[in-house]
Amino acid sequence: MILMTQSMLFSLCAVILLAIGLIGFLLTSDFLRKLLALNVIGMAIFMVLIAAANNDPNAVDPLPHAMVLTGIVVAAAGTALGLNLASKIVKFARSIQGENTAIENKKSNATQDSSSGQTD
Amino acid sequence: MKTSSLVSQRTMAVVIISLVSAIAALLLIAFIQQPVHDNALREVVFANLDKTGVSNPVTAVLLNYRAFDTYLEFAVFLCVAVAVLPYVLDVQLPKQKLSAESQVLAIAKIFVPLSILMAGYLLWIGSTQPGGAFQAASLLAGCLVLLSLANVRTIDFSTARSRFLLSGGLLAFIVVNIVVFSQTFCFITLPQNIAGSLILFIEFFATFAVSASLFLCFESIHKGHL
Amino acid sequence: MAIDLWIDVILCLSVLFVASSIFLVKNTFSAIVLFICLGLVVMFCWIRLNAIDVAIAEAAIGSGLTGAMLIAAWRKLAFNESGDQPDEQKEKSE
Repeated sequence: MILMTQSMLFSLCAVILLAIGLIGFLLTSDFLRKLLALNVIGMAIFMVLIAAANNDPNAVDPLPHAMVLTGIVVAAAGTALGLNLASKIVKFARSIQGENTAIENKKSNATQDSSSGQTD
Repeated sequence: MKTSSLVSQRTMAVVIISLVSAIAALLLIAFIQQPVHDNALREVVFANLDKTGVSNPVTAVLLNYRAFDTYLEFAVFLCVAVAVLPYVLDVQLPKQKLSAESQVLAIAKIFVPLSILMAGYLLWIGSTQPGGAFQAASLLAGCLVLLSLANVRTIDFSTARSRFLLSGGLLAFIVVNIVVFSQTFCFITLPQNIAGSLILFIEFFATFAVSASLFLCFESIHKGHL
Repeated sequence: MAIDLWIDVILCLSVLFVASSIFLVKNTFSAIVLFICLGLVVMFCWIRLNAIDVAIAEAAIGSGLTGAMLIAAWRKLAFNESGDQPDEQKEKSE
């Protein structure tokens, strides 16, 4: 069998985490959960990098640490942009819905006035 | 998920799960059969660590060996701040000051001074121990978020000096490299005797810039979109 | 296997358990709170893998700031215009 070192264990955990994130992304229709799934996939990729850096625990490789540091911060900024976009879309959709209900109310009021005018 | 007319939702879910499991199995096989690699870059990093001016290898990689990547990351932060700024500027500032929320303010009064002290310690100790600019910036951003939740007006993003705050890391990097280039004619190379001080100078301004950008990301969702 | 490796096995199992439960709960707010928990458990993974700088940054940015932004967005997205119950609970009650 494979020699189960710490690095190999965390690499396998990262692959299963990637699968969980990908399945969660594809099977959910709620927007916030899709964003959470993207972040989970990002964490899985960071785990792959840092597990590869820890192949020899006495000689830790600092280059993937710098890459993951950059990656965490950029992922947070990307999540912020996605949430801003979602809030803008929801606000626009609600304003459109408000206009539609106002138009329908106007139409029903106009038909009521015309019918009451005929009966009088 | 909308049900299409040809396939039902359940068969689509089964297909997706089987495909993703196949991808995961292939990745697992690839990880088990990976060849052993010797780490030549790591030897280079640790052989020249005393010439970088810091003794923490991650800070040396971030701000000396790969300084250009960190410079580009500051530029990415500035782009995100520019993209998110209109949502904060659209909200009219209330004419009278909102009454500060008492409970969150009580928590903030205890935690914010300690957090500022901790952020300064993390920034200073980044040269030798784990720490650095990004960790200190995240702590400061947490302080600003806590104060914003307590209805305390912290940063007014419509003034000109807040724009200098947001681009501080980028400007500090450009200034340092132009000055060094004019003296030594080496492109993005820090001289060995003052490298530690120059790294601390760049990290100081970068801390405030990154924390202001992260706080702006939160503020645009919290206060914007009304 | 040594005791260190068994601790790592328990840590990996808890990571996978928390990550899968994000997508199995019904309430969106619970999913966001579980995401913050996942960030903190993954921080322990970074500490076990000798990546201390990454652990500090993950705890503050990855789970703290991202969690705050997600909860602020949830307030805007999940409620109706008049400010009553979230849409999911209304659909369940209907």
